Amino acid sequence: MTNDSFAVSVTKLTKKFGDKVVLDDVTFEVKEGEVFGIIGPNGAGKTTTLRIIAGIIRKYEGEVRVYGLKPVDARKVGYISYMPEDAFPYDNLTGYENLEFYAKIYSKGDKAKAREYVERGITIANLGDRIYDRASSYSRGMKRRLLIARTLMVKPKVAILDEPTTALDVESAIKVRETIRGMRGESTIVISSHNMLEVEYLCDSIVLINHGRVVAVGRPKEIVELTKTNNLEEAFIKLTVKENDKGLIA
Amino acid sequence: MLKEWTDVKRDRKLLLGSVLLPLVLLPLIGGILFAAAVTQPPVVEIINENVSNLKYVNYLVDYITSHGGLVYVNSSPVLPDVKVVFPSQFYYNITNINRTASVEITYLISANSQAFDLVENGLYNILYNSSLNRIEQIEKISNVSVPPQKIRDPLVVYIAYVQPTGKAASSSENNLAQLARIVAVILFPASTPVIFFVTDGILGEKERKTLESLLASPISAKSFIASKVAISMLLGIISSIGDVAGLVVFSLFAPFIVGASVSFSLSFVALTVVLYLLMVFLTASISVLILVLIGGSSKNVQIVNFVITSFGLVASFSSLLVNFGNLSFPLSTILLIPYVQIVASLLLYVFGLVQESIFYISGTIIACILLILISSRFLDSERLLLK
Repeated sequence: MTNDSFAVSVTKLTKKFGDKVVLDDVTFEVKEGEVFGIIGPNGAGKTTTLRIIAGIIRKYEGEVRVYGLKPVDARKVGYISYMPEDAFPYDNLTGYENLEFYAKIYSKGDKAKAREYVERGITIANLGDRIYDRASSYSRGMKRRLLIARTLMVKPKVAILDEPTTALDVESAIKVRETIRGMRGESTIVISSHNMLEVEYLCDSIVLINHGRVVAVGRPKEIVELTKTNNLEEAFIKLTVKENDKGLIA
Repeated sequence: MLKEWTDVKRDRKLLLGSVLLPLVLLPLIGGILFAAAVTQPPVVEIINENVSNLKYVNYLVDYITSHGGLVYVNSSPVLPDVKVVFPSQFYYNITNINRTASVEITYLISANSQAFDLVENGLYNILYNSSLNRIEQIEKISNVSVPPQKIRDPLVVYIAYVQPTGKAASSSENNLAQLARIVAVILFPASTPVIFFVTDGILGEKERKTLESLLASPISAKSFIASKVAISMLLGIISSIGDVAGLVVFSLFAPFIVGASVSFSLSFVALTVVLYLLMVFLTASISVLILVLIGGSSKNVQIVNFVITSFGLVASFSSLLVNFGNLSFPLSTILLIPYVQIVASLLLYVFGLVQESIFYISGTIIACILLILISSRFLDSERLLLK
């Protein structure tokens, strides 16, 4: 059963690649307007979960809804904007043209709306005049900011950011986090991250997945309290490294 | 589409490697071939061992030089393509009614066959005139008045041409039909860069890590595929300008290929262009369909290449070997093979079967549209991205 009042609801989600079970009976909900984190060790199934919510992976067992719609339908109506972990902008286009391309896709022919999206994207990217340079000349941090701007500028109902600060230097990571935090309330944001400090700082709620199964769901503080640890990092280690697969539902 | 074009326009490697290179290379090859023909005329050396032979030697020299060949008598500064020796007994033998004259021909195996053809034709003329002279001599001896021509050529063959429709055709139409077979062979190779453009359009996005975001956007499968096909066609058309230039240069050699001059009519040129575009469209449609069905990996690109090249080879060979004007079952089933309909429509047009030609063109256009619709229907982002 799903609850359509949630921005995203995932119920008994199971995904197999061949014989390998990548996600096993995963259930969680994301409230509208919150920043929701999906955390877990490498290979836990975070990216697969995000790809299913984004409507890229369509074959799975269980039920996934984005504002009451199947992910693929939510994608078609423009509810979803997704930034994959290893995404890059179009290097041969300028930052501006990259934003313009996606603005046109999401505005579906509404030129005024497309312009509005691009202006918003320029503000979010905060690249100054470099926005008119080709993306190939950008640093990794600048590219990441451009991609985040591209993802968030279209005011999606659900923005999905897979490891948004991966491989960024400290300064760039801080800027990206500030951008995401600034968007809180405007869009429902689902992120995945390895950085527990980042998750604690950004996320209202989290789900911790290990070996494809949910081991904890709730607010970061609640999970810290329930695991009787000092911070989310320790809670993560307690729940994953010690292989405590009993689960914690806060 | 605009994004694709901007992206491609700024990709210098792609432009240089795939578009500008054939634009320069193919006309260059054509130019080299042409220059080779101009600067490397057939060279013939004639060794005359007896001044009495001079009348015949001079005849052969005149014949070869009037047909573009170079002749050196008794000493050649270069290695000749063909060496002809008129032996000392030649004059005696050729002018004697009861003797057989001989010449020796040495043929350079690396030479162009044109030199040999020139010598052979020139010697045939000598033989022809000599036999007429001998008949005249017999006529005088026997006191029988018979025109030598009637004895020498007792059979005259009149050649007429007919279209598969039964309508009379001219010899130039026959020549065009022969040349059209060669044009049909060239059509497919000229469209093959499109395979690269389509696969790069999809796999390039995957490799450059831009595909996943795009597949999660509201862009429709139809728009996604149509934009890839459209940009591939545009690139294919641009890169084909070189091929067309090559075809123009190639047409200069038409007389050597079909043995007579051939003039391209405007409608033939227009049809060739239309069929080329159709070939590009079909190549793009099949490439996209295969990638959509089996997934977007570099190994799968090899499968795309293999499948399309196989179909194309069948079409190219069938254009040379099959009589499309008179196809019956089971050979007619080859028309179900992609690309064969396109070469068939070109050949049927020059054979005078215009309605059939239009039928196959229309059928191929419909098939291409269906392939794109099927690709859109079965576009699975998971398969494209992860397989």
